[in-house]
Amino acid sequence: MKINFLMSKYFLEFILSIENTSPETIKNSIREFGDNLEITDCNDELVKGKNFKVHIHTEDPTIIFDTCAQFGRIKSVKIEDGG
Amino acid sequence: MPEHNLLQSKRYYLWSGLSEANLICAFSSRYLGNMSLAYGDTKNALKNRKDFLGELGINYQDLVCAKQVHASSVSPAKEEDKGKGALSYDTSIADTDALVTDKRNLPLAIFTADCLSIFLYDPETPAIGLIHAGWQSTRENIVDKTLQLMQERFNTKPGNLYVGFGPAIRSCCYEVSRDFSNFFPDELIERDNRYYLDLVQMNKTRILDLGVNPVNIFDFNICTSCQNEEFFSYRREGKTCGRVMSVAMLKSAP
Repeated sequence: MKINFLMSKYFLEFILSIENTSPETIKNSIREFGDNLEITDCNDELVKGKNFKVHIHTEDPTIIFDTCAQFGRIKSVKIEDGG
Repeated sequence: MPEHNLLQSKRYYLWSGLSEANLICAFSSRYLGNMSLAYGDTKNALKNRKDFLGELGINYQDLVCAKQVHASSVSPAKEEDKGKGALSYDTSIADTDALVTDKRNLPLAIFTADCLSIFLYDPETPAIGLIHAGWQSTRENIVDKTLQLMQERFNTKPGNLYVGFGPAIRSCCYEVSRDFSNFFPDELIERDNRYYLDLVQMNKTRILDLGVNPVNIFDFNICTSCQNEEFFSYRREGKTCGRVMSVAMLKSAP
């Protein structure tokens, strides 16, 4: 039995605050779950750890959050219905 | 050579064609619970390991485990590695996605939920290998690197090698984004404008390229997503997902 992911796409954007993981590792962990993946550095010297803005179009936001939460703290989440 | 198939108890699978060869190759199902000390609900993992390995005649405290990182480093397991990762995740061999050994009574373990486990057996030396192959390790050609190390260390000949594929999310369910065509230009499968990977086929192609005899390659056709009642699937379950264990061990000569 094949279960499809949700059919509608969500545009997801959030800040991931990590300490010991490279952005490349994050990318490789979630790229299979969506398209248009971009991870950009948005470090602020006052903030502990390293902050990266994660942007991805996905049908399964939960698995993106689940996976990223293993690496650090998720903040400032924006989700738009991509239709 | 005896017939190669999987003996299925309700709790685990045993590669039966090799049992007579003083070799154990087996993997647990989720009916035995989570086997990982790092992912999912870990509180019963040691007991679960003890139950599973006890049925195979393996001491769970002897287990050699790796901190799997989705890369392609291969570690030779030596006598002094016995017990690494057996009782705590921290003592596992670091940064390793494949283990090889020619030592007897040294059980190798790989933990998976959707990723593919691959068993290698060289009956001549004898020696074994066990691989954790997700898409990243497959892309880095981990089977090639594992066989290379077996050739260097144990003089393994690809023509003698037996290969078995453990459970994995199969191409029926392993949907990925289109940009995987950058990594696997000839191997990405398109169906109805969606894109899929076949981890087993990709690794099989690489194994055949190395000179392994096709009649010695065994695919037991288990999809962790289709058979989610029996196997853990990260795709299906997310962060609470546990791991099944694939284990391989050369037994003492009779």
